[in-house]
Amino acid sequence: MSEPSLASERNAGPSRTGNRLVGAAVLAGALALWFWLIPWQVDAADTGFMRPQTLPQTCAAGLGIGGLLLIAFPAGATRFDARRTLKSACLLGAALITVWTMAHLGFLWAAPLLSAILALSLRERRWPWLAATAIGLPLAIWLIVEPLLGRSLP
Amino acid sequence: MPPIDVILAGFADAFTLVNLAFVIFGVAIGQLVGAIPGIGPVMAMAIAIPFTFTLSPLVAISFLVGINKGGLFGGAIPAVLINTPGTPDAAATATDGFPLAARGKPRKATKMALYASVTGDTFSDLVLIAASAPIAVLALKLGPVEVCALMILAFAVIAGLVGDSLIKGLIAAFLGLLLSTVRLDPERFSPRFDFGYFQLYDGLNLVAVAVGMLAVAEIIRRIAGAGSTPAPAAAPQIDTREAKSVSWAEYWSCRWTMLRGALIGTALGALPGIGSTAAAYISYASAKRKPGKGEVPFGEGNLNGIAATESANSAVMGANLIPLLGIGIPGSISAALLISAFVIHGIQPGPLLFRTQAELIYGLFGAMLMANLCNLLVGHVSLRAWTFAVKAPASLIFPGAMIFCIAGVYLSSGGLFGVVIMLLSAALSLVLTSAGIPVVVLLIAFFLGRRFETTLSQSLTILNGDPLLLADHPIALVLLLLSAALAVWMAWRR
Repeated sequence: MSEPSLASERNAGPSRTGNRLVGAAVLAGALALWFWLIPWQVDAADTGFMRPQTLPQTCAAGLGIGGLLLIAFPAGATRFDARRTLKSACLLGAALITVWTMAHLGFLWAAPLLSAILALSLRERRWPWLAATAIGLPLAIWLIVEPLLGRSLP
Repeated sequence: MPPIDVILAGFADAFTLVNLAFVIFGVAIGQLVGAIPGIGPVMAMAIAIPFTFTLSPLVAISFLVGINKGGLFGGAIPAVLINTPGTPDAAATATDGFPLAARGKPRKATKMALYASVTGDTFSDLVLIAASAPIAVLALKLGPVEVCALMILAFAVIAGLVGDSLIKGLIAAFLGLLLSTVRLDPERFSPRFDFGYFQLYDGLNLVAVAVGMLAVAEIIRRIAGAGSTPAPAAAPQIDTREAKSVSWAEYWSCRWTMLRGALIGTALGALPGIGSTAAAYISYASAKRKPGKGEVPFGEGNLNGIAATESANSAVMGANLIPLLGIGIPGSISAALLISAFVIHGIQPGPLLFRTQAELIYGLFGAMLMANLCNLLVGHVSLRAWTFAVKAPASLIFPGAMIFCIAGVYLSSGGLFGVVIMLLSAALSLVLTSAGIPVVVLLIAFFLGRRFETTLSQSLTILNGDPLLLADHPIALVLLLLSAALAVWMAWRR
């Protein structure tokens, strides 16, 4: 199956502690789901075979059992890299801020900003490439969507 | 089986100029993105789906099929030229492709990959055309209890086969099902997990979740890990006819290898969860033998090595659609993406399609055959251009792909709310991948979640909530026992 996890995952390796931590996190999530999120977010019903809470509770139970099994029988690869995680979080944060900016200023102002941030993160320092990425790409996409497809962007 | 006039009408729909143009366009995009390491046809399909809104269902799906088929071959180009597979499926191709390129014959190696890819793909498509309608006829005889049991079996198989841990596969399947419950309850219409956002009443947008988990997460992962490996240089080309082309005799000498590869790819592709990477390696292992007199050994540039891997990994594509069209269960992530393309055009994939949309299905089959021919022609004409794509700067590709994702999801979801869902899905995908939990299983379970809940509800009503009444449904009982046995067997094997 062509799962998009390529070269970066080659360094992945089995880690009993890492898998136990994953199992504990899944178990904690399942407990939070069962005792807090489902009662808060799903209207409980007492009649019928398939109630609104039936499938969410089944999933919570399945996740809880899965978490427990993973703690008991840790298996499989984990890949935690603090530097990459932090960088990924920053990039996603930048993308979220761009979406917020897009809602207020529009696509043509916000998209070049994100494009430039991403290009700079890729250590691109050549001005012509930066200009092409930050201005040319969003403009090309805007031209495809608005005049060509006749759809509106924010 | 649909009547012959409907089948012919379907094929006639496929062979139109507009459809041909979009298939060629799709194949060219697929080959291009396959040639760029890090993008790949799955990401390209995810990005392209929202842009197919304005097209008719057949043209849209043919375009996406074209991308997928083009990408299957495209992934072999960087594998051969710079020993860096453009897609995981092409990793095995580098074993013989790169040594052949290093001996000054990169064009011969890529052409062999192209011919083998098209051969395997065409074989698999013919099997799909022959097998899917009879399977759909059988599937239509199944009731909700049997369909529900079949879906449980599919979850067990996919969870066990994808990734390296059955437990993590099951966690991913439950997470996917949980995400599918974010919507109005189908029986009482009370909101679930809406957090006060009315946009969630209709559920999480399929395209936003797919693009977020597949494309955006990969873009972020690539950018976050940038600069760790320098780009390798491509080998020079010897300027002789023999070094640049594959003769008919050379192609014909690989016929049994390609046939075996196509059979392996088709057989594995028809089973949900087993991917083309596995098919390529199994085919390579089965083709590997002691070299004959004057023959290049395997691993040092043997054409049979390239033929084995490419025919097998490409044959998986058509076969992946057998469970999708026959029983409505996607066999791979690209088949799952086709579900979202069907859904945004108001079509529910599954066995009923052969009754309600037979013309569209046979149109799709026609388009698939046409895409194989286009793959061959476009590959032949554009091979030199794609070698430049291998060297395309990441600083242009990944920001461009990201902006495409934002624009596409904005269009498909009708607002920035969908874009936020896409980014949150990407964050979830990054966390899960770090934990080793397979995102592919989650996505397939998410895509099947709605249908699973409906069939489970119908099954419980039919069984009156009494599991002992399963004895009246022997097929369902056998399928459930098989699921349990498979899960235990796979857990024990691991």
